[in-house]
Amino acid sequence: MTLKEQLIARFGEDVTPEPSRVGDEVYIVHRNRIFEVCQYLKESTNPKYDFLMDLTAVDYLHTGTKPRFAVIYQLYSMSTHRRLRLKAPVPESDPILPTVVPLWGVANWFEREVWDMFGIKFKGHPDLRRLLMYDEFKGHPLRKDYPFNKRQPLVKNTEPYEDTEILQYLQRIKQDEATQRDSGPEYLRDFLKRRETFEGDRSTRSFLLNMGPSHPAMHGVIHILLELDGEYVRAADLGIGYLHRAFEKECEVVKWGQVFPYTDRLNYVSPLINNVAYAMAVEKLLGIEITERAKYIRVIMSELSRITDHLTCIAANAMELGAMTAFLYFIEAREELYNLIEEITGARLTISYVRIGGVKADFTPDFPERCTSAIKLVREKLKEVHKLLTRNRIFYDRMVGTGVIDKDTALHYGFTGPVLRSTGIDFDVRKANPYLVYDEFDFDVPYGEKGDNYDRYLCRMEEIEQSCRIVEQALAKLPGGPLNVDHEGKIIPAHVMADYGKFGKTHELLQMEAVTDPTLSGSNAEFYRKIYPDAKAVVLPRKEVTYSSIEGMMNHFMLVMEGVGIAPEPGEAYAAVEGANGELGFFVVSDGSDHAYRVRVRPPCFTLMSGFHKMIEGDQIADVIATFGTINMIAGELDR
Amino acid sequence: MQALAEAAGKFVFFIGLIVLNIAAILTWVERKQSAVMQDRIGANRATIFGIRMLGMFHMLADMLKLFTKEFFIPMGARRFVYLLAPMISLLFALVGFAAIPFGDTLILGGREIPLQIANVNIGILYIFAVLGMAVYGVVLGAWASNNNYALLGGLRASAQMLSYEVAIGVSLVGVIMVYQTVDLMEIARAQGQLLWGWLPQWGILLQPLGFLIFMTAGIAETKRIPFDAPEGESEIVGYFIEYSGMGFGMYFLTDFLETILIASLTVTFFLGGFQVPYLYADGFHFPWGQAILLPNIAVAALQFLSFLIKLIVLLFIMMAIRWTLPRFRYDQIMHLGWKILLPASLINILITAVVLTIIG
Amino acid sequence: MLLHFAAPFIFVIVAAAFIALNLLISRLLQPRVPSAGKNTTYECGEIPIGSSWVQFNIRFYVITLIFVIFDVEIVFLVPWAVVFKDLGWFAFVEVVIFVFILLVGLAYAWRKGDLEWDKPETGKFARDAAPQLFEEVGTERQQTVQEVTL
Repeated sequence: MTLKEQLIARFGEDVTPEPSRVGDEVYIVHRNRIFEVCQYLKESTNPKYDFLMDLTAVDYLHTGTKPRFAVIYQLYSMSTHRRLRLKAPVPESDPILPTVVPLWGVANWFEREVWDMFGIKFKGHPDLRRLLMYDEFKGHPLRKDYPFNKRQPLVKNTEPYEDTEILQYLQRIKQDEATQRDSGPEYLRDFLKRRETFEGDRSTRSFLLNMGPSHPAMHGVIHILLELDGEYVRAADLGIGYLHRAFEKECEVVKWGQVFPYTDRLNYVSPLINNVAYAMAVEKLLGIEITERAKYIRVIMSELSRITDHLTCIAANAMELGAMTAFLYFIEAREELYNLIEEITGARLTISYVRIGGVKADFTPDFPERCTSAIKLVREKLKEVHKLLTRNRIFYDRMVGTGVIDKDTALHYGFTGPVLRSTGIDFDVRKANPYLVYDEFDFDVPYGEKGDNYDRYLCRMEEIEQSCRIVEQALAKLPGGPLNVDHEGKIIPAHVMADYGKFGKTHELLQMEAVTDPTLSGSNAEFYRKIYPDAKAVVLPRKEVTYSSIEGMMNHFMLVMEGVGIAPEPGEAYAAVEGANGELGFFVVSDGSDHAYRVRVRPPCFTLMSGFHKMIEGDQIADVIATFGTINMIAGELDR
Repeated sequence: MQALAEAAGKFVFFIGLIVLNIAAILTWVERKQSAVMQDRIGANRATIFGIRMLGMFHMLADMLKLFTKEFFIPMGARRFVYLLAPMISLLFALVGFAAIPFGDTLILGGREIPLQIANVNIGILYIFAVLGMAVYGVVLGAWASNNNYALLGGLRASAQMLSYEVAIGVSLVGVIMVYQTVDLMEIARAQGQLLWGWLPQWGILLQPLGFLIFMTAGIAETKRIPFDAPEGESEIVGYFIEYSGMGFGMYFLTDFLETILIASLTVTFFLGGFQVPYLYADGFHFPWGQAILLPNIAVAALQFLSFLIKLIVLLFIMMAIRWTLPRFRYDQIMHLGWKILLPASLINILITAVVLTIIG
Repeated sequence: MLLHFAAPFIFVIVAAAFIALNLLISRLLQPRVPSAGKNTTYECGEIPIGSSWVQFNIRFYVITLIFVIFDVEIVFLVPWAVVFKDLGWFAFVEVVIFVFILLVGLAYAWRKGDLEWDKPETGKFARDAAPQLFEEVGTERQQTVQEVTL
């Protein structure tokens, strides 16, 4: 039985498949049965879709689709590596549907975010607070009728410490506690009540400690409220959103191609990977197949980015444990890679290198040589840091057995990337769902067994080495040919090329690559012609062409002007890559205009942080720092 | 009155000119040495009339900054204790130097001046007392701040310093057994004697295990990496988190002074103190019979210089350790102190006793 | 005898004067710009919840007791160590026994776990999404189905 048959047999009309022109598997589920469908998919179907990759919502106000909202569930099958998308339409009049938190812990934060951004409620959610926005915020910003440039006051306008005398100060604290106990957030009420019961047993009284937002080790900005028993963490509650920059809302007001600079700022330690992921999602929507050379370049740049990310993570982690020398060794290697990236992209951090349909610029002639020497330096520094840290007794003691998370909990909280791999699950998007040309390289996916900080550290160290291998192989295989797809958004098939020849357009032929694609002349030709719309220009012409020829000028003009340019047919697509911290997915929705209708990022850090409290509860304060370091949280993509 | 003048004079010379300057230079060394270790350039921005002096002026800039920063008392702090704590801390770090013999006797104009600020005949016990008092400055400051981070830092500091005091104490018993005295000057002098006619009787040779234990526990007393859990700047920011301006400056200075104090003690107990091998009160007498006679002033200068060089080498090693190792966790520090250093130092006593009893 | 401590005592006074001088200079040089925000207790930018003068399990008070024992031991050992060579075998054996008893004491404390740091049980915030919290979710779901109408 196929999945469709299984679902229809079980749920009848409540589940209907939705055709997707980009090849995603999509089902529309009646919202009242979403929990049951998810449970069924998680536990009973064949294959089991046991992993919640992403949960978000779309507001269809402007497309005219009824009902107004749809909650989107991106499910993943860990055994067969297949993806599945569920859509639960939710009407505006009664925006509520059952929660899936009991199935996946990570849904807790996802649903909080959906509530925060769209005002959709989840029945049975244990703690439906705002997540990214502050409590005083009015409205739900990702709704289409919330103006993107609306301003609201940021904080409560009360001076926290007006009293100067200590007695008044203490009194105020007492009053604070009293009000918190009666009407504060649930976790605080719970704590304060619990603390009252401790009053009799003086020896085990715990206290609350705010760690972050302004804390030396909370790089990025995050707030952890720790309930401490002496040095030990009893419980933790995380607050995020301090770096919220309305990425998803911004994407809706700029053109498709102008989103790239924003993606640089997601995971700013490895911006190239974000670029690639977004471009892949849009290309999937457009139906573009990019050139081989561009694929190789994207792979090389992604892997260099991954190396810089891991170098930064391990370095910062070592520094927070006090080993500053290891930090600077790695930063030196990273510096060399940044120089390399700067040479190709023109910038060190905010690179905006990838374009829809290709990349901005080709490699410089001396790139392979410089890249090889940079990789050599990285390997040297790896060796040095291995000597400094890996067998260092203090480092070992600090890392082993701290921040432990087991397989099941990690899956429950939607962990991906090195953190999931450290628990012993070798899930890597590059291997599981190879994209670009990753299936052509020989590399290993390292994984640990205990899921503690040390395993994560080793995983990352080994991944640097594996990335070096990929870069070396890609450099050796780097094909020639055109860099980008032609400005009409396709690689030219042979018969079209022949036609061009007949009309005497030989000059253009020199810059294009011919492929023989049987599907284009067969029975599918009509279908593919629709996907590859002839009038859709995608890649900006080169600067020289733009400035020296009228055709180039017009071409450029048409791409950047409002109202024209890249405009995918209406549709939805989800594309994922292996980011430095796990699966980085982009879910894009097009309404046929030149602006993105909705861009949703599935940031790997988000799920990691949603389960972070599981890793630190029971450890000591000092371990919170070590664990936080190995997670490599990047606030840019966490808060977006 | 004369005693007062002499003590004040020695204070100005040893503390004002030597120790505090070393402390200041140490801040520079810390920056530059770490820079060399980490392939960096290090501090070099501060200039006077365009002269950089390898960034030496940064210590001046530091001092000026600390002096001109506002020292305010945060809300909710216990004012009196809050103000008192850094003073206690600094005072006992300074007082520790009183017992350190920087050199042997200097004869100046017919007067014998011992190059030691106060010749306390129970010097080791005095040192114990001073080290024991050091914890008060930390704990009181942390408690008076009324800050959760400071509180955690203070508790860590007290547990750590108490634990390592035991190890320091027991490891020094071995030294006392070897040299038969608790007077630091006597210990330093005893290390000038020769074993088998050619080997200087330095503590590191007679008490190698004791040296390691003392050094480790000493670094722990100074609360520097890898034992900087009380400060743990990336974890709990430090017990002095609420201190600003000169209040912080005093803790800062204490830190460096304690490092120098521990290094000085290590030199005194284990590295021959001010002794130069084969240098006696009247000059060099080498084991192969050669002799170079020197005036007293030259001998005193050589001895003082030797003390300084040993001190600086030791400080350099301590800095290198500080920049290489990560930080222990609090419970690991206690583990090391109680389960490794303490048994090891007790065994050291037994071994020393057995060996000494057998020999003589 | 007392004169021995005169020098350190004078030294203490001089050192105290030195510290006072430092503070005085700093006092004269420093600006004074009080403000409410500056004077708040640092807790990473958040308002502290409760006073920090709380009592909690510091987990080393047994260690403190052991510390007292060993500190006293040092006091006993130091005089013996000074005159150790003159006393000979008798004193040696006696001290071996003494140290041995202490070692046994340490071993006992060690074995009993007084040097260990037992982890406390971790509590849970109510908001935690532990699956067992949701055993009754089935009934809840039924209610949802009834309440929510499309």
